[in-house]
Amino acid sequence: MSARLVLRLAPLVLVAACATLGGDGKGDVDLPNAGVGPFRKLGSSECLGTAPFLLDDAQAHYRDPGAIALTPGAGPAVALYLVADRDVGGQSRQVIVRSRATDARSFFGGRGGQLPPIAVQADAPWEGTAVSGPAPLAVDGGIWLYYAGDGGIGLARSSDGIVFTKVAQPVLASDASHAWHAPTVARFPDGRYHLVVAANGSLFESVSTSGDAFPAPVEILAPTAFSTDAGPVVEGIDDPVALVRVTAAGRTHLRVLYTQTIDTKSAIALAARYGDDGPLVHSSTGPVYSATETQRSPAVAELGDYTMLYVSDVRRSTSYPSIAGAVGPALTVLPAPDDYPKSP
Amino acid sequence: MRRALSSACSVGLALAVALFARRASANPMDAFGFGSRGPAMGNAVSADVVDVSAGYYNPAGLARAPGIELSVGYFRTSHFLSMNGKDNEVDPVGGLVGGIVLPGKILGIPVAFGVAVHLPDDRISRVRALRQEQPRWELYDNRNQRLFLAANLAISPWPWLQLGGGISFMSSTAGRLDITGSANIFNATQSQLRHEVDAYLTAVRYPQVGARVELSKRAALALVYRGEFRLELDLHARLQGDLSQLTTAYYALAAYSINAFLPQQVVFGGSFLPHDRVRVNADLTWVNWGAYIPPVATLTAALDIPPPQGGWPPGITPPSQPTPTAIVLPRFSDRLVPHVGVEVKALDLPHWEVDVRGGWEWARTPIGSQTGITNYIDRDRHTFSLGAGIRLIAPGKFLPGDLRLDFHTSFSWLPTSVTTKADPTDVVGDYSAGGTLWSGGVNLAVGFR
Repeated sequence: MSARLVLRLAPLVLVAACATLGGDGKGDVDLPNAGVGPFRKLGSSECLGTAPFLLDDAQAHYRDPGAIALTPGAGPAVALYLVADRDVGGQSRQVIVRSRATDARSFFGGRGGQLPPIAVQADAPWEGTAVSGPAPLAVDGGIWLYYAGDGGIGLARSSDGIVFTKVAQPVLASDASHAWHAPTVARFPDGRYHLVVAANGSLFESVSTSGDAFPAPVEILAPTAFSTDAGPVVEGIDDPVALVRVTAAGRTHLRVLYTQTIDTKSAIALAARYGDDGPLVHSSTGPVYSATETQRSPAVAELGDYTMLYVSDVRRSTSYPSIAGAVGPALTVLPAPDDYPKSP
Repeated sequence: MRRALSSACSVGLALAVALFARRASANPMDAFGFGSRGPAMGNAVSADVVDVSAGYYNPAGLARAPGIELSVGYFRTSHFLSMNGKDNEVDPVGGLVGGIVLPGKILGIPVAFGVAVHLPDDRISRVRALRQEQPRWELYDNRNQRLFLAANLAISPWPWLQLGGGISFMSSTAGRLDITGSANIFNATQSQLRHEVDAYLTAVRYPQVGARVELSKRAALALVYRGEFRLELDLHARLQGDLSQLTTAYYALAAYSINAFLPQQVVFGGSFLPHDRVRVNADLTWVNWGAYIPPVATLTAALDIPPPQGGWPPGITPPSQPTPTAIVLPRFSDRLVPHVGVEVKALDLPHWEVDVRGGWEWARTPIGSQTGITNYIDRDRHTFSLGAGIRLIAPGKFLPGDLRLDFHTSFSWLPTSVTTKADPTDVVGDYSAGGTLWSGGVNLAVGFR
C-alpha cells in the first residue's frame, strides 16, 4: 500500500520540483567604486516630483547647488545650498538658500509653500550685489560655506548649517587677471584645505592650513581640444566640485567633477589625480553624466554605497533652471523616496 | 522544502540523462572537483580513480572498475569573496553529483562505459554579459553556474594500460529581438511598440581523453587531456518605427560574446603506495588560460534617423550613432596547478574499511594585474582538504558488492591584495580583494560485484 502511494506521488514530486526556479544571480553586491559615476538620472519611482527634478520653482530659479552629507556613514540625509532669486527689500536678489532631505532626494522646498531660508546674501562691499557658487564643507561639527562674490571667494561659518557668520574679507581676492569664482574646498587627510576655483576657462588650486586665507592658486586643469563635425573645439571648464579620499592602496585621490561645455552642449566631466599636489588628468572615457547635454554645475554627496549628483538643468516644459538628481554607480537601486521634511 | 523538490527533480533528470544521453557535457568541476574522494585528496587522483568520478578525472580509470557502480551525492561550495572588505555575495555552487559505471568484457578485453553528472541546485546554466569595467570574480561568479555531464568509454588492452575518452556538450544561445511600432517623442505614454523574440540553442561539444599506465603494483602514471569549450551568446535586436509621424527610425544592434570559456587542460599524474596502508598521489595540471576569452559583448550598432522635412522641432535632438565599445583584451597566462593527496587506510576489517584523506592544491591566478579599465578579479588560491571514506564489504544478501560512503570538506584561501589603477579618473579606482571558499560534500556509492 505504502509502496503504491510512493509510486503515485513520485511523478507529482518530480513535476513540482521542476517548477522551482533559481533565484536572481548575485556576485555584484558592494562592488568598489571611486564615487564619481558613471551616473544615471533618477527615475520616476525615485523622486516625488517630475523625475529627475528635485527642486523646481518658477520664481526662485534654483541653480548652482552645493551638497553636503549630514550624517556620513549613518544615512542619506543631505543638505543643499543653492543659488536662488529671492525678493529682498523689494528687490530681486541672487542669494544662497539652504534645503535638506532625509533621503538625499526629497528636499525641503520641493512642496509648494515651503520656502528654504537664506543662508548667505551679499551685504559686504567686496561681494557686490550677488553671491554664487556655494560650497559647503564639514569642519569640526559645523559647516563652512565657501561662496563667490564680485571680489573673490568668501567664507561663512555655521554651527547648525542654517545661520551663518561671514568672514569679513574674502579668503581669496580676485586680481586683475583672475576673477575667481565657483569655489570648492576639500580637506585632505593631512588636515589642509585645498581650494579649487575657476577662472579664465581653467581650474586652479590653492592650499591653506587654516581654511580662511588662501595664497595665489596655481593652474591644475587647462582645457583640451575636442574634434567635432565643425572642426576642433576647445572645451569650456567651469563649476568644479572637489572630492578627496584615501584609496584602498593608501593613496590620496583628488577627484574633480566640472561642467564641460563643447559648442552649446554641456555635460558633467571628471578630472583627477593621485597625491597631494600636481595637475589633474582629464578622463579619457567621456563625461560621467550627460542625460540631455544641458546639465551644469555639479554637486556631490557621497553616501557610502552610492553617490548622489545634483546638477542645474532646465525642464523641457520650462525656460528656467531647476535642480535635477542622478545617482551612481548606475546600477544602484534606490528605495522609494521619503516625504518632504518639515524643516530645512 | 524547495531544496528537496529541486533535488527530486534532479534525480529524475539524472535518470533520464543516464538512460537517454549519448554524449554529455561541461563544468564547475575544474574549480572544485567531482564527488568526494577526489576533492578530499586535493583532486590528485588522475592515476588513481576507478569510480564514477573517473568521468571527470580520467576516463581511462573506468576500465579498472571491479563491477557495476551507482553513485549519488551532494556537493556545495560557498564563496566568501570580498572587495574593499565588503562581501560581494557571489552565488554558491551546489547540486547533485552522481553517475554510473558499467564495466564488461568484449573479446576478453575489459571495457567500461560511464556517465558522470553534476546537476546544479538553482540553474542548469546562467548567461551573464557584464561591462568590461564592472568588477567581477571572473573565475567564480558565473563560470561555475552550469551543468556538467560527461559520458565516456574506456578499454584496458593490457593489464598495465587503460585508455578512455568521451565527449561533452553544452548549448550556445542565439536569438533575435524585433521592435516595431510608433514612438511619440513628445509623450512617451502615447507610444505603441510591438516586440517579437526568437531564440534558439545550438550544441557545442568538447572532447576528453585519458591514459593510465601501471608501472607496478605500487605505482601508476596518468595523462589526461580535456578540450577547450566556448559557450557563445549571439543576440540581434532591431528597432524600426515611426517617430511622431515626423520620420522613420531604424536601429540595429548585434551583440556577440563568449559567455563561458573552458580552457583546454593537460593533467600529468602519479599514484604511489609507499606502504600497504598509505597512498600518495600527485597531479600537475597545465591550464591554457592564455587562450581565455572574457564574457564581454562585442556590440555593433547601426542607427539611421533621417531628419524630418523642415528639421527637428525645438528641443528635440536626435541621438547620434553609438560609439562601438572598444574591448580591452585581458592578460591571462597559462598556469601549472599542482595537486597533492594522501590516503591512509585507518581501519581494515573483513567487512569494514575506513580511509582517511587529505589534500592540497595551489592555483596561481592566471589573470594579470588589472591596472587599466578592466576588472577581472582573481587571487591565488590555496586549498586544503580533508575527508574520509567508509566501505562496507558485502553488507547483505541483496548487495554482494560493497557500499561506500565518502565525505569531504575543503577550505580555500585567496589572500587579500590591492589592485591599483594607473588612471586617477578610473571610476572603479583602487580596491582590495580576497576571501575564502568553503566546500563540502558527501557521496554514496553502491558497487555490484
